[in-house]
Amino acid sequence: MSDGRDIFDWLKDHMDPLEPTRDEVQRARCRLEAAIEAEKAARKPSTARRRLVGGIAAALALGIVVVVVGLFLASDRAEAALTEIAEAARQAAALDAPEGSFIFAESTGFDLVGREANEFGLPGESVSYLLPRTRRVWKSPDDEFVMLEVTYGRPTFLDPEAEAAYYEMGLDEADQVGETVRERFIGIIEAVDEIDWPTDPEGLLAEMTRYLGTDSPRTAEFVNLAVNLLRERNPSPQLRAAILEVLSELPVDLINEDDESVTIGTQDGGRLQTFTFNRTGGLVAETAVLIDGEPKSGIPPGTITTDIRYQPVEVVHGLPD
Amino acid sequence: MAKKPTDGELIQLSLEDPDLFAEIFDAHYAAIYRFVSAALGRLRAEDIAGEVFVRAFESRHRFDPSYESARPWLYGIASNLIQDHLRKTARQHRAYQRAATGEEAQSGFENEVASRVDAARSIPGLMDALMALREEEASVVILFVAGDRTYQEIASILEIPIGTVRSRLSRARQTLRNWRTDIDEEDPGDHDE
Repeated sequence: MSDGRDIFDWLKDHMDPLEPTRDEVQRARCRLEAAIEAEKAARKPSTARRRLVGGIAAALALGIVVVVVGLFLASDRAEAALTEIAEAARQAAALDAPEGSFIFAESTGFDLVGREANEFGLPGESVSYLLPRTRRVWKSPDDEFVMLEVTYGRPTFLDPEAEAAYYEMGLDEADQVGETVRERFIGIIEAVDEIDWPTDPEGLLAEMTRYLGTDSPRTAEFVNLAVNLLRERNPSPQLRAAILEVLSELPVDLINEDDESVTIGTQDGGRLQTFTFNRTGGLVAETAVLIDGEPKSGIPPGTITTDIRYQPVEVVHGLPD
Repeated sequence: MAKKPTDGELIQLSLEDPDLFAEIFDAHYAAIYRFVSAALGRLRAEDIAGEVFVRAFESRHRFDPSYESARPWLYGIASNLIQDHLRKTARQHRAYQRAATGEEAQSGFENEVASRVDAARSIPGLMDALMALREEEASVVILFVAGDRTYQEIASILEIPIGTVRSRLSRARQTLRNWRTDIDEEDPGDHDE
């Protein structure tokens, strides 16, 4: 080392410890709550079986009967709409991605980000703001190579005082506002990409339940995993159709349906998530809303914490310079 | 006003009322996330930080309720999961190298970095540096650098003597100096300062 500094100090300077986003906290809490629910269900199995999603999971062990009960309890309209686009997805042509090509996905939107209030020099626990970003992903067909490119825009604040402090304290530089950040990941395969997901709905549901690692995953967990299998990915038409059929069996609500798209919603605790699919099952948008807000962090009820629009996934044959 | 229960008391109560464990999550998740993200970057932080609390919940009967704070225990679980991830990444990287070069890569957790300087920016955060270390050294460095823990706290978390913490950090310091020299020589323009 040429500068004579302690290597540990140098590493600390080059670390980038991050605050979790509101959605990340919510998802992690859901995961813990699922484990808590599973333990409670194991203590009181009869109670667990009354729960719809628990019933669907139990169907894996008990046979198709409980799944049929689940179907009756699910929103009929959402089920019909999702079944229709599942069928269209199955008939759609596969997007061929030969070796050497990349699956390219682009999205724009914003996420709610939180930082400790003391970083702003303000009293209280935390300050939240909406950080817009454009995200581009290039992924090799074997998932071994991923390049991410994220451009962050100027954030929107709920509190003008926090906004002034944000720039004064240089937090815009920490968030890399106005910059395009590019990262490459080689040989690091995401957990969901390591699984050969079944293309029949029953098998897929069973594998999803195993992946979620609990006897009775919550509806929101199933929905988020299903969407994760579609987001920025290029599943086969058969797998895409199976994913949509699994979604159709869950008790999700139909939020909107028109000639071009279907929007479904699921509420988990105080958070409402919506997902919009085009007529062939491509993910085109997602949102999350904090229904009751979070007064402690100055977030009013009904705040949209995530709003992302996706361009159709494409196959490209090179990377940008 | 009633005294707020300690983490030890909460965890003890959660054996009967599991919902109470969510309070442990609320109190410590952000700190654990910061710790994991410092070591591995955002891509892995959510998954691993979330897993820490599921594992902690499932093994809470082993937590000593006389401890006031659960954070050292959570750091220990997180540290183990980070190590698991580094091991897995090292295996994947060896497989990648074999595929790319047709040759067997150097084996061993500690020898990955020298041969992968080209990919020095491919893995975020502290991960490159950690992969240059022996496992027992990496576990100490993770807690010292990413977790900002003291020697005494690391000794307690890893259940090793404080002298062992010092000696492992000393060995790690030397290995990391060499690691950084290698990177500087390969790509002198890639580091600020």
